[in-house]
Amino acid sequence: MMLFLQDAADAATEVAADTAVVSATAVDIANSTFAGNLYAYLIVSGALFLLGLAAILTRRNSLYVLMGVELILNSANLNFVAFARFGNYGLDGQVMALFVIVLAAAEAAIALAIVLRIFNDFGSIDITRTDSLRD
Amino acid sequence: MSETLASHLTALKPEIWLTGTILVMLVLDLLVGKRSARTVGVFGLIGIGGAMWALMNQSSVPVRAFGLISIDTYSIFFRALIISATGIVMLHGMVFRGIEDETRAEFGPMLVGAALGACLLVSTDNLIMLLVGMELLSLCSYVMAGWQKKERRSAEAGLKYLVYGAMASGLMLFGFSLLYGLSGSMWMPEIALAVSEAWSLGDAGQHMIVVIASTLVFVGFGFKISAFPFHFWAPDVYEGSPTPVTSMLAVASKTAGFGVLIRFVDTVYLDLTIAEDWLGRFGYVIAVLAAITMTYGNVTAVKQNNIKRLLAYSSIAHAGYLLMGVAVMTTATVDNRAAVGIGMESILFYLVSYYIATLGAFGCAMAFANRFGAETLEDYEGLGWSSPWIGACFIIFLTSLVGLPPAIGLIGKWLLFKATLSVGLDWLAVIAALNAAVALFYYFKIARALFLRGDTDYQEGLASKGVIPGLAHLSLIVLAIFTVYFGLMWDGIMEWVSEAVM
Repeated sequence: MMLFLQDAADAATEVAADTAVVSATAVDIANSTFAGNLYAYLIVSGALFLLGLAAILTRRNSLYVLMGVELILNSANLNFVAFARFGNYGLDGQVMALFVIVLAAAEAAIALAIVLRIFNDFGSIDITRTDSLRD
Repeated sequence: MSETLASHLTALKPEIWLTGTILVMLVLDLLVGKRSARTVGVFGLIGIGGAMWALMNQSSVPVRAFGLISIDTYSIFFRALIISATGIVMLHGMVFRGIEDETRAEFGPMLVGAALGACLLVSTDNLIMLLVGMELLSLCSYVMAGWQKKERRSAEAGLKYLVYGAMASGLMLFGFSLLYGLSGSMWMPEIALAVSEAWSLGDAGQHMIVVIASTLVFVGFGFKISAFPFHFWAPDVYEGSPTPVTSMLAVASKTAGFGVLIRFVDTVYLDLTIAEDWLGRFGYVIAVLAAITMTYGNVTAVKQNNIKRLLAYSSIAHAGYLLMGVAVMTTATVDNRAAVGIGMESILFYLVSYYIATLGAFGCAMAFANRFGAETLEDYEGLGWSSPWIGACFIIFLTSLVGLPPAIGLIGKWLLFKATLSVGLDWLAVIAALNAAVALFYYFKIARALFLRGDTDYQEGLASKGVIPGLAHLSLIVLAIFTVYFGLMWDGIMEWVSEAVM
């Protein structure tokens, strides 16, 4: 497990580095006094994204999987807001972030209802235990 | 009212009809109380008919409504498929016995909500609207997949669809955020500018970002169209969901997925002269994915016993055939730009043929489940003799799905193969032809069970009398007639398709 976390952390730094390269050219860094901070935001969002992905791929409890999805949504949100703020891109990114928050809430409501039903039917919310459908 | 506002609202008439239908159905359900299912359903059908009527009267002059939704002949084509499919699914949902009567009235608003999301999804070229449309479609579909309260499999289908769907849309959203970072815009044409600039002028890091963002976005679209390697949800969800929902997922949801995928590819990657090497590699990846998708779907379908599961794998295989068209679009070189249009036309035509035959096939599966409770190939043995009309319709739809004359599926396959050969993807055409042979085998298994196996005696099933079940049966027969009619006279559809591509 520790080894896996180490790998994830390494990968996070790698992706964050890649993200940083593009933003350096896409966003006119020279004109922004906050330029340095964009990298910080991108590193955090890259790490959040990878942690969310790791949660989805390794956890068997469906609530943990859904939390992983929330992490991914929020990492994208952070990206949107950071790009909008530091790139002087206008309000589009922030509007998108608001929409995503609302969508995440709607998704969570539906997800909890479905998970509750799964618990009633199968007596467990482990996604590997739901196996009435298979080849 | 200002003139622009009026024209924007006129362009959105079908969506306004659908929204009104949802509200009317919700209120009616409360007002009528017990036994409201039929009233609500009838009003739903009327509302969908109104949306269809508004759509057919829409002018073909492109309008950008509120800066978010682009109404053109392309979106009219896709919305016509989606809304008419919703009408038929609504009709089948009113007679399907698997849905309990006390929840049937609430099923309608959910279904029309999904249709509304799909309509917005295919009409937009703005990422915000795209996300909203896709989530509206997905959230309604998650609920509908888990609709049957007394069925464990339905709950499981709901969970699987939800978990994989939420993951796919999360990844897609992260891809969008990278594209936004590159371009500073949510509008596809501006993203296209930024992508081509990053590819032709940028360094390795920028190339990396473009590749990562494109891959993540294609996870989202690939999930909706159930292309390999994002297909794994499809068999389970198709089998577990109530059958009308399965046809909604297989037809409307997949059509919407292709609608947005083609628009995205066309606007972001093909509008500008992006460096050849990028496009070449991109097209090659899509071609390989198409080959794997169709082969996987067809080979796995052979050993299936449950009819809905078998049709689910067949629908994965058809996603592979349709991806062939996308591969044609993306491998078109600069001196062969016409191939983009040819590829698009062949996809759209194939979608029409897929739409008619799949809607019909799932409708027949629903009719057999309703009357005899039949789900597997063994259950189907000899049933063709007990309900010859539905059995004959099923045979016609299967003929179209496999691509034999005189059904429309043959014309669709022929156009796709021709397009594939025109850009030099000969190997892909060969794989697709081999796949059609495999498909013949498992579709024939259904036909054999219906008419050539078991006893030919008449079996008394649960008969359903009345106007609505009669209409549902009639819809299957009409679809079967369309399959054969358009298989012989496809000029009308061809004209409609080329108008949509313009």
